[in-house]
Amino acid sequence: MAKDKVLSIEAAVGLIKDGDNVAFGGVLMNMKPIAIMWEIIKQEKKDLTVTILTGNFGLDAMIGMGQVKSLNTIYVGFEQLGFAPNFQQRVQGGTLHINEFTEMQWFWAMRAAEMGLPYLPCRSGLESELLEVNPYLAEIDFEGEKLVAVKAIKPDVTIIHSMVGDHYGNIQLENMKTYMEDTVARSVKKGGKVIVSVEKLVDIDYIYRNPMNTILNDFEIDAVVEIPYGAHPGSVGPLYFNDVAFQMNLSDALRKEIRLRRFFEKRIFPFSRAEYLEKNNIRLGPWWEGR
Amino acid sequence: MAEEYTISEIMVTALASGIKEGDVIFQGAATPMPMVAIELARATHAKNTVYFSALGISPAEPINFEAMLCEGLTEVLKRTKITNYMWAREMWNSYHKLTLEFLRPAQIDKNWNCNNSVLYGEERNFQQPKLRFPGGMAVSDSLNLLERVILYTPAHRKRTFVEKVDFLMVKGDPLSKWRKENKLGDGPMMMVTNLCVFEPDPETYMMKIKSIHPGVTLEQVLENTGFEPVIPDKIPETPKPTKEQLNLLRKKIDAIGFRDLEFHHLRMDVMARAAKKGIKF
Repeated sequence: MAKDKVLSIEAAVGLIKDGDNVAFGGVLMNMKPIAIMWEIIKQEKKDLTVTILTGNFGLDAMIGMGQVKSLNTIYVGFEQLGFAPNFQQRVQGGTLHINEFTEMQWFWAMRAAEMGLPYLPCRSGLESELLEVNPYLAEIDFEGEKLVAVKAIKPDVTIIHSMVGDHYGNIQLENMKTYMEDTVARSVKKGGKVIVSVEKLVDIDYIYRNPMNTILNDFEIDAVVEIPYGAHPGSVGPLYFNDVAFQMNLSDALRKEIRLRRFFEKRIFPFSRAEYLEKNNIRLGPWWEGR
Repeated sequence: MAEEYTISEIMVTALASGIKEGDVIFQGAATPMPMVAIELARATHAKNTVYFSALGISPAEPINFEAMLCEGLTEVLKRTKITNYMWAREMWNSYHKLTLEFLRPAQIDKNWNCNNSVLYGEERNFQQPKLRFPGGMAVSDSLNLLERVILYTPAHRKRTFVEKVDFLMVKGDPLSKWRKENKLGDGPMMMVTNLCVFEPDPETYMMKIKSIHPGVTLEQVLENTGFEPVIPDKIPETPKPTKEQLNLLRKKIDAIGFRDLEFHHLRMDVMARAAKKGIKF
């Protein structure tokens, strides 16, 4: 009998220790485990290394709250809504370390970890100065061919958001393929923790009906948390899209630490999920009701 | 009598001229002008262009730029036919399948080396730079691996076009022996700015003036360029947008003026037009 992996958001985030390397799934504003990030902020986790392909509002808020000491990333910004102020200020101030990767290199670092390999080779970044400033990168020679070796990143905790999961931790995505959530989850170091937030908890019979949708197996997961609109104010595939008004309010608050704290104390910390949804005029539609 | 046109319109038509029929274009986030240029090419000389964004392959129908204004790349996702992130990454390794991407470097030098990472002050410390940019995303991957790349910037000035980049994020050297030896793509084939168009000099691979926009002088270009570009004996004028192109852009493809988002001083105008049309943010 498989183990029940359902945890409260508080207990799931409680698995993260100060100083951990924490990896997050998602790309741009899509499929980011934002609700988990809010809880990390609430629990005041410290000295985190964050491994994230592209960082947006959630990451910049964590940086603004002084929780992040180092980054493994390719981009931190808000796309058409501008620069990420805390990321920019702290790197310029020398208080936030960054290992910058190209997109392919970042991916290879996670994939190598997933595959249990020390590194994967690629041609991206040959003879660039990225190789001088990022210790995960090195030039190698294979049969006379110059390549860039990307060393595996093995996070202590990996966190992704997905659509559905059962109580045992079988995780599915519907009507879309993964953006690499599976790879990010599996990059975790031996003995590390894998946390998944899902839009909706389902019975295992539901999983059996759609086995093609499964992206992660129960034995690979440590915690499943049901969080409807868990990527809000970002988006989840075809289910919901960016809440741009919320994003603009938050990006405004991110400019000053005192305003950032007030934003969280007024709009996020005091509320249960149900209250949060109501405050943000979110009604769970037929997709949530039908599962 | 030629039509009046804006800087963003001549830049969009110049960018579109770099698209060939049958191109498989990979296009990243936050690049409004190339997105409009791709749709212009698909409506005119390159109907069978495949366009896939960082989030998936979009279908044959054109992008709705009004929706894009609110949603960013998520707009593409609403009508995508495949969303397999990993597959795109593996295609990069066999780059010949992807033929083109448009990129906007924050800093570029005469050898087409690009930098979207940091600017240095007196000290060259990557971990405490004078200015930190959001990051290169896939700029390095594309400049290394795709068949070819077209660069652009709406702000042609000395601090963008420099003798040598502060940080060598990705090597340029288009068409060079170095690229062939290392099995890389051809690299940057064109740079479109608000003043002129550059192309690689076939002998030195360096930046050479291809054409200068109507009404702009060579002196203006040189005053705003931090290095001495290769200058041809006779400098052609960049072709003006045709009446057909302007009609398509203004009435069909991009009535909201999404292309103007590249210019900071025009952003509010775009937002005002959007608000007038009842678009909510």
